[in-house]
Amino acid sequence: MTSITQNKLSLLTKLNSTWHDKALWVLMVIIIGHWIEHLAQAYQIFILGWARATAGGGLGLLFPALAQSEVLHFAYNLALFLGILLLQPGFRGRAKWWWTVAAMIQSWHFIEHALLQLQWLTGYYLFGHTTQTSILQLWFPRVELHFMYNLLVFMPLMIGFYYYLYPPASESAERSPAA
Amino acid sequence: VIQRPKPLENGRFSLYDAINRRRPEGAIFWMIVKTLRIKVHDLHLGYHSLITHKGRKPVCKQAVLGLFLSLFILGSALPAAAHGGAGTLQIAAEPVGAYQLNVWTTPEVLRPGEMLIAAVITTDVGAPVLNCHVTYFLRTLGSEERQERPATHVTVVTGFSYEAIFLIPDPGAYLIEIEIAAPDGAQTVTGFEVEITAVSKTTGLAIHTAVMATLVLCVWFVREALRFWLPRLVRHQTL
Repeated sequence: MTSITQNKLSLLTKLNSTWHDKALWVLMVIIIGHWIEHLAQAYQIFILGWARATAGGGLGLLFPALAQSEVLHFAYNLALFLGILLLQPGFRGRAKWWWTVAAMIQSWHFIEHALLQLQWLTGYYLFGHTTQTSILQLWFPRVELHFMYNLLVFMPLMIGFYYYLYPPASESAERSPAA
Repeated sequence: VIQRPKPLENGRFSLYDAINRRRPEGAIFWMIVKTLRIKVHDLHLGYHSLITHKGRKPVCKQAVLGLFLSLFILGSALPAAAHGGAGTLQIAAEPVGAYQLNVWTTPEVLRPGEMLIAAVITTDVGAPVLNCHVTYFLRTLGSEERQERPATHVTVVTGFSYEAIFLIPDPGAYLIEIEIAAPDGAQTVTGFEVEITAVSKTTGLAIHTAVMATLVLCVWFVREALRFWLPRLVRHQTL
């Protein structure tokens, strides 16, 4: 038991020291790819005038089932949330501040997806609706809402990433050991 | 069978239906009831005799009821969800022979693209009538050319609603006509107008700006990635 705990601890430590740079790059590639998918979907709906049912971003064109998959959306959001939380200790200063802002916004986004996932799994839909519905969907359509969620998470993540690569002069000395 | 709550004349739902998990405030009410382990005796009784704690003396009655009523008022004012929600009630309890007709459109804000129309035909006591023939027609106001869609019971909304999907090509005012042949032989044609609104210029500008910003960001990201990874890859190969 002790060795398992030590292994887990060492993994977290490695993720925030020697592996931090590499893990962060991998996470950022996934985040940017996901953002591009949401942007493509918005472009298809609002600029190209496609029906929402067929506007599934780039991957949705090749694999339509992907855009409809509640499990995929949930899995991505879980992975993103875990990624943000796991890598957060490796940040310093202003980068950490922005990363924490993203973590806070993503926590709500994740709750919304968890609600959607639970409804999808149980078949019990909240608010008397006939399909899975998250709380803010009571006010905003799903595509627009999740576009905004992803934008609100994406922006602080990118700013945090920028400050991680280029910390302000006052913080340069306190840079992450892996940098 | 899940029954869609019967709307009142003004398109709202009764208090009983709201509590009966059909509306946001109803669901929230049940969460409160379950969390506080409050025993609900009879939803048809007046507010003051609704709730007692664990079947004993009333507790926090005013607070719980106040919260519930606030949520009810808030929920009644909420628009239905625009995507996958109940949609907009366009026709409420209109007589069709011996039956009543309710029609919804989805999504809430109608844009060029797909529009779902769902009709529920019920008897006086609210039982769904399934053996009508329903056909929808869509045409631009002032035009004679129209699209026709026979309704089906495909379960987009419920198993007993008459549904069809139209593809709206352009923004503008449209007339939707509904032709119903009821099982008792009654033939009815009714309809309603909808306004299809285009995406605002601001939205278009915002999306184009986001696309440009993302392109710039991607270029920057690739440059930084090359700066980071290339020396490491070269070092790895050298070793």
